Amino acid sequence: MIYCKDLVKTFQSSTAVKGINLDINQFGCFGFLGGNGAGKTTTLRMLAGLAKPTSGEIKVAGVDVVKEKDKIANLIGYLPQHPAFFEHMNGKQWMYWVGELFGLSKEVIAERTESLLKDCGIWEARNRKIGEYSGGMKQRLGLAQALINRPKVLILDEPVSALDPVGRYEVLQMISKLKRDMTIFMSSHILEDVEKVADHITVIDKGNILITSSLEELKNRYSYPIITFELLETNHKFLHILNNQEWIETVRINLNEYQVTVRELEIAKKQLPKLITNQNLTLINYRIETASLEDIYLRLVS
Amino acid sequence: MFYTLLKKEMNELVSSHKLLIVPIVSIILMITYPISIKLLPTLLERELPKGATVDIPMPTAHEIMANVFLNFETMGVLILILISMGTISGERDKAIAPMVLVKPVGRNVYFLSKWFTYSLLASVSFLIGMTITSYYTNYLFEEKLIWEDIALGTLLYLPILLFVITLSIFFSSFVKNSVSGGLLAFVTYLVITKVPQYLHDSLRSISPYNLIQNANQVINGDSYEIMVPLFSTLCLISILLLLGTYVFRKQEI
Repeated sequence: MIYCKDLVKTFQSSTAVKGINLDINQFGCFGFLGGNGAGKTTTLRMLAGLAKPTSGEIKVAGVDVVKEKDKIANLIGYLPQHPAFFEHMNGKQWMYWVGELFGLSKEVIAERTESLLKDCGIWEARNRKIGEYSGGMKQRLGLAQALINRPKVLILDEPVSALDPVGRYEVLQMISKLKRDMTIFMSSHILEDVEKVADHITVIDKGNILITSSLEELKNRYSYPIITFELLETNHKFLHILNNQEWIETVRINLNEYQVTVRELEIAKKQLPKLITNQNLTLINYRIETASLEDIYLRLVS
Repeated sequence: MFYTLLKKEMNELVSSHKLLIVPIVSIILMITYPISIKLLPTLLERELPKGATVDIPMPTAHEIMANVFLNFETMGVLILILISMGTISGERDKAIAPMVLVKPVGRNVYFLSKWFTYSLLASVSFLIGMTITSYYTNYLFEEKLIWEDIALGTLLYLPILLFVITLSIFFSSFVKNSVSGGLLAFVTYLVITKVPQYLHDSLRSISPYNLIQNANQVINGDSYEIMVPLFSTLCLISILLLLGTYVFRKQEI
């Protein structure tokens, strides 16, 4: 469904994508994670045929995006990070117009417009001018219009970033349903949301792919347990002591709260309380957690 | 596809009121000249001291119409560039272009739909302005117009309007800032139409400026040579369209 080989994109002064490789052959939701400027949007724009790769090969739904540009549009749906529309149109008019661009019949357009606008929660606002829509409503309309051609591959650039919690929940529910029948490639930096819908994760940083893996495998491989505890006192020497323990992977500190990623949980359970007591420190609270996608992501990037 | 894009462009002309504004501005630009010439002696008489007389030779209706063309040539051209300069760059700037071009929309069709829309708007506005101005000139001045000459002169001027629109959309397709694109289009228009008149005869004869001159001569009832400047202007339009669509196809949106 999505295939990239040694994909490079260079701009005048910088290289945004440095030879990435992707091979996705199944339906499902693929989370594309990365910070600002990591190369996510540039990669998605190349997949959608809007930007030309400097070098490398890129295929979507079996079609070469560079050589067979005309064919690609019918196979994909694309939602940019900040979808923009002709503001003199209303939501329904935009859907009808996009449907006409795909050469769909009026009956099909009418049927799909109604179901998609209802699914995306903007059916009530269909006759309002898009200029009067909020950012969240535009994002919902952007998702609805990206689906009007029933694409094989849906490319979403930060699809829930402009939505309120209810909107995020609804759109993520929709993505969960859609992923049964298509490949969804979704970029985001809201890791919690990606974790809810993605089956596979690709992490990109500074134009390089750090890892591509199923979410389960990623958690098994990188998910060390985390012990979070809070002390009454601030003690800089204690941080140094923690960093010297072999069974500790990383230590993050926020005021008096410590977040310790551990390699050996059983050892940690015994040793950590001892270390605290030896330093004559007062423990306020203590809990053991499993690493979230955010923890794994931070570990990978750092 | 072309029809779908054209429909959207037309709706946009209606919602932005350009469909109303451009013809009205064209009428105002054209009709003010014959009216001011007609009223000039009356206005001057009021200002002169008692007993003084002023004798202004009244131009013929055909001379008036020829001057209407010349007046339209500067302000009219500027207005046409102003209304069309952001048609592609503006959509790109507002990030609407990627939303459209990621659909099965050929870049050539996208470019040409805009060119066709603005060419139609410019031509229809000019024709309305010319029709109304000719009617009033014929009504206000004693010597009557020869309608065949007016019609031919008007038709000869249409390629100049298409040339202006083509220039404006050509620059809009790759200059990111609408104002810079418009400025470039206007300067290029001035260079292409004004500079050749100071150059060799052969260059002058193929210049679009020569077409404007000949359109004036047709209206004045003088002898004219239309084939060479008409052909060269149409060639220039075709080259700009080919170049514009090519450059636009190569652009990253």
